[in-house]
Amino acid sequence: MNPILSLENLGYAYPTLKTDQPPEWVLRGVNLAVQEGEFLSIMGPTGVGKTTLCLALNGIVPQLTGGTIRGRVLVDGLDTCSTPVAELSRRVGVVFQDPETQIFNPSVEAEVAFGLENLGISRTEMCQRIDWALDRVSMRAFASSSPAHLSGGQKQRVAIASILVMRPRVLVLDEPTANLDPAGKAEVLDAVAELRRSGGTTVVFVSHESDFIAELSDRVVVLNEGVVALQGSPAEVFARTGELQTIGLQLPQVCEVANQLNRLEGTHFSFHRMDQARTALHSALQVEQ
Amino acid sequence: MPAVSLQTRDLTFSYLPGSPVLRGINLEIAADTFTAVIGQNGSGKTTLMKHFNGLLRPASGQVLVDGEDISRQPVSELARRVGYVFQNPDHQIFSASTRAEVAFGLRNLGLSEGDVQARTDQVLEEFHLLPYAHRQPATLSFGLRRKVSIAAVFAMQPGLLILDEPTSGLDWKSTQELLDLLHARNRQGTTILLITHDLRLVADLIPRCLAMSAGQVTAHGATHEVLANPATNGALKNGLPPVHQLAASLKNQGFPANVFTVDDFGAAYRATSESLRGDAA
Amino acid sequence: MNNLGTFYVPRESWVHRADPRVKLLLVAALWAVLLLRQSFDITLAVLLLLHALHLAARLPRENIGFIWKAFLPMLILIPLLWSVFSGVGAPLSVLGFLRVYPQGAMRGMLLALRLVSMAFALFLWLYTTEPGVMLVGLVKLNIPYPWVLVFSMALHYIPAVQALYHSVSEAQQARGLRLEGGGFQRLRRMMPILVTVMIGGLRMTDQLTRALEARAFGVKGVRRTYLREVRFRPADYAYLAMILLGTAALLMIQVG
Repeated sequence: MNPILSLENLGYAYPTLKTDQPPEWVLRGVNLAVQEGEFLSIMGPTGVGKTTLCLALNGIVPQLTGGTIRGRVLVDGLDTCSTPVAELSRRVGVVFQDPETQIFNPSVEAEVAFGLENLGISRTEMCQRIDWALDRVSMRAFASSSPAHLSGGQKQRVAIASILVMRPRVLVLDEPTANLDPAGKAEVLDAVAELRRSGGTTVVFVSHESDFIAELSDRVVVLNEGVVALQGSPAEVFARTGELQTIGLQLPQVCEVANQLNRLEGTHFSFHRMDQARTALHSALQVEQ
Repeated sequence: MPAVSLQTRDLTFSYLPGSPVLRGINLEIAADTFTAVIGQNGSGKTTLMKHFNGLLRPASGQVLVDGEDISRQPVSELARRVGYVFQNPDHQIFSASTRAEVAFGLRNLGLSEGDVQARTDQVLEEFHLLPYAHRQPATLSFGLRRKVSIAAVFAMQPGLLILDEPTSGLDWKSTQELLDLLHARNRQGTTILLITHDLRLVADLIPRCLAMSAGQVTAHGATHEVLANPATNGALKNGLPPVHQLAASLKNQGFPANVFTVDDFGAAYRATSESLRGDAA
Repeated sequence: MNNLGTFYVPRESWVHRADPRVKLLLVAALWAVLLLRQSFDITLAVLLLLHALHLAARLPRENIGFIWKAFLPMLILIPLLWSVFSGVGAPLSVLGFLRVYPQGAMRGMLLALRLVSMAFALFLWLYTTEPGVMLVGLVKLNIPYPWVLVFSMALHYIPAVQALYHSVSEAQQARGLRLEGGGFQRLRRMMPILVTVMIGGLRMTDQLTRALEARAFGVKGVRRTYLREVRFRPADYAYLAMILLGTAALLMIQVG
């Protein structure tokens, strides 16, 4: 089956400020295919190019950012260098990190409607879709609220709804919990988990939240030094403890528990999810009795 | 600058009349301590911290730095003793070079040019920022800008260092490197207050903790005790590290409730399995 | 006045329900009357009408008070200046050397009242029209959508830039920046704040552009639609007629 997104040896350098400065390659040959319907998580050290990668998925990189690009990105067969960004945005919806800079309409409803207005959707369909999108992120009750009255978690959910409403084939979330307090984080992660459960949308989830990533992803991709360093199921990737530590990433805490117990107690645990951990520890302690 | 101690007496503050954000806070922070400040958004953490460098003045009550009431001292004077690193590095970065950015605060303090250069070099080295010394800091990546903003305040060598969410957006390795630098500073004689939402970080790496809720201090002391305190626990349930939830699910097997780190969990596992083996024997 | 820079006060009233274009016409018509008729009686009549409309719109009394308070300095200063400097009408000698022109003072007062009335008219429109509806109304008046968007985004971003300024000022002061002094010296001292805010402003613009593009803004081959509906109802035609007739009357009526 043809992947919905295909990154072929993607390399990218932002434009330099001085003409004699050589280009600094942020991405150095990323090869990645995203299949329709999957929940793909992307991890990597700060500054490795995760946001750049997200922007490359809808053409903002390189069309709005300039710079030098190598290789190519295909979105549903369309080349991101030659197809207009607004056109690509119908297929790939990117939710940025900071909700403050994405929200500029006077009401939640108006905010969610904005993308649909740009796409020329009829009013009746707009109202239906807005209700649907706000429902998916549990923000329906706030439709007429002013965004200024919302908490960080609520704002980020509105930002997600306003992209979701456009029914993109792929939803890209660039560190959606970055600036949120634990309550806001939980709200947003619950909303994302709900999207995962109800299925239908392909999700690319960029984050440092390894616990969440371990629980929900179909596949995990680890970027390091501009390329894909590790790739596979959460079980496969989070078993590579040494490499993850060298790259500088945090393991899901239950994995650290497994590693610690294996090292100190001679056990042979290999869980990466909370439910697996519970079951394994339960039976292990049962055996003792 | 030697480590600074803090005291507040019945500190009250509101942004709008009628809705107090801080309600009669009585607090003592000893010199040389390293304390995490935790609490939900709106609990008053940042508001309280801003009283320590004069950005906010109490509506009633007192703020004492090293035993002195600071209500008459201007913010720029207090900057000598109290360093404040804001959450968003882009709210302070403006210079043409990283070196100049670090030197800015030092020049404000009126140091001699020789001292300015010496301290700048030292701090750029400490933070591994020498390769970027001549680059315009606004063009660096986020992680580096974060480092620059922290380095710029470190260079001023304040006796009290307040950091507002310095690790948000950083990967684990950078977080650990920063905490190492903070611990080193703390040992050399600096009191540190670190506002954060990352309870895993607090449980693993920060010795003391101050918990706030609805404008009051609910717990203050060693981290483990504060996290185990039911008042704190209830308010921060969402944010407690996964090991806590895992331990709670094994309660029926005899697992203790107060598990907050992987080490805690390991010890609890050993104790529980030994006692179960003992029972079986 | 309000969060997000909008002045809209939601209420159930016929004024609120009226088409935004009709209300805009009212503002334009009243401004024309105020500018073209130099008469105390007409100006006071318009002011009275606007107060009546404010009350009919069920707007809180504080809103009326807010405008009067904002214009108080002008209401005192303008007549005062005109009384001394205008040279209109017969002067009264006061205090020997100072000449006071009572007719000048009256002219000044008229000017000040005219300005207050114009403000009341504009605020009536802003208080009773939802931003989304205002936007669509302007588009239906054939103002290009990008211009209207810029206008409504400006309303949003002004408080955002203010907040940024405040945060940056705090951050730089915490690094020992002193802000005393006046005039040019103070401006120089503020450079670290101003430069940081400018960089922040550029970043905001950049991020906003990306956010717009990510929501298909400007996609080709599509006619833009709008969530809010703005359509003339029978009542609006009636208001339109009343405004046109009323304006004509006010422009032509002979006042003693």
